[in-house]
Amino acid sequence: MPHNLTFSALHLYNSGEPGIALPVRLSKGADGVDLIAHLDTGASCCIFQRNYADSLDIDVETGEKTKFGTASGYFIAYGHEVSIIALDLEFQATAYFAEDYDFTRNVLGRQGWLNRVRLGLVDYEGKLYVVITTSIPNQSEG
Amino acid sequence: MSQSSQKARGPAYPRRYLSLRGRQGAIKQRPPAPSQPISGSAPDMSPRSEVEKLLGPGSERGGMMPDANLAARRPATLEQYLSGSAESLLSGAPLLESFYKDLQAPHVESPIPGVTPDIRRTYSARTHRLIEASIPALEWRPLSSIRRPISREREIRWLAENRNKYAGQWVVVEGDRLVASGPDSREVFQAAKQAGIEIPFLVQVEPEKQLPFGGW
Repeated sequence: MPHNLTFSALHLYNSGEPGIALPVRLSKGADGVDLIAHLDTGASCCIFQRNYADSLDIDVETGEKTKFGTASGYFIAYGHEVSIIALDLEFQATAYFAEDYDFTRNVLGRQGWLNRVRLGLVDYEGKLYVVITTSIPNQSEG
Repeated sequence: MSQSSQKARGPAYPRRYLSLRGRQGAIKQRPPAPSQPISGSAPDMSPRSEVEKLLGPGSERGGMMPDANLAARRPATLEQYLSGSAESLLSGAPLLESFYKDLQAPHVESPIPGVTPDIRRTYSARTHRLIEASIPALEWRPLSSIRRPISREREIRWLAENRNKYAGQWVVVEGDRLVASGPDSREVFQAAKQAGIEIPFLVQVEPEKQLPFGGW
């Protein structure tokens, strides 16, 4: 049975690079910073380097302390409400900033981004299609 | 609501006045609440102690005393909160404007435990429909907007061409121009701001030959 999906934005990325990179803007109040983040369907949340919290004048430790498990251990990050802008979509969401400055990843994960969009991926061609999810799921569907 | 308390507040208004906008988009005017004599005897508010003489009548009997059950009486869910507001509207309380402003205020603490500001702002855009909406759906629904896409193609191209030269450093690039670089992200960011860049594109340059990322 065929399924048809429509999207509002197409992002072309370099499929030769290690990850699916896309420009992201984080903003808090009047402050904003642009960065490169990677799409990560395996990440539970949107997680960023602590340095970006510094740029937004966010006191990292005042956020929601969360321990994230990894394949080889865990790391600590703190959640803060920010605006995440990627492609043509803007969301108010909780972004997590790593406690450790040695943490060097920036990812758009499920909570706060992936769970708010409909996504189409043609990795071979380096094409990422996105549209905002506008429908509210039926409660009975869980 | 008990019948006696309903009587004391005045007559209930038709449920249609819960809607801020009519079908044509016009603001419905709520009819003025007719003045009603309050039934029952007035409470005795004469000062009973030195404290009440100083702070005012009733200061030791309710209003100004700590309420041990305050947490229990606070609305635990949005549905309860909206239900309470709707009840007040029905009874003619002058709540409509404050309720609407409260929902619109983006930077104040949420009056409902567990409800984040972005969710409340989502309500304000659709206030006339959200009074009867259920909480799980609202909590799931994001505050979102479609906007002009961020394009950093030139900057990303610059990074690809200069990766080895600045590997490990923090850089701010604007177009195909390096604005600032260094090992300290704060200093680099501030240098870019001082150079007049409103929203700096701040990146820690990764070396060209790096290990493939294995996921979390």
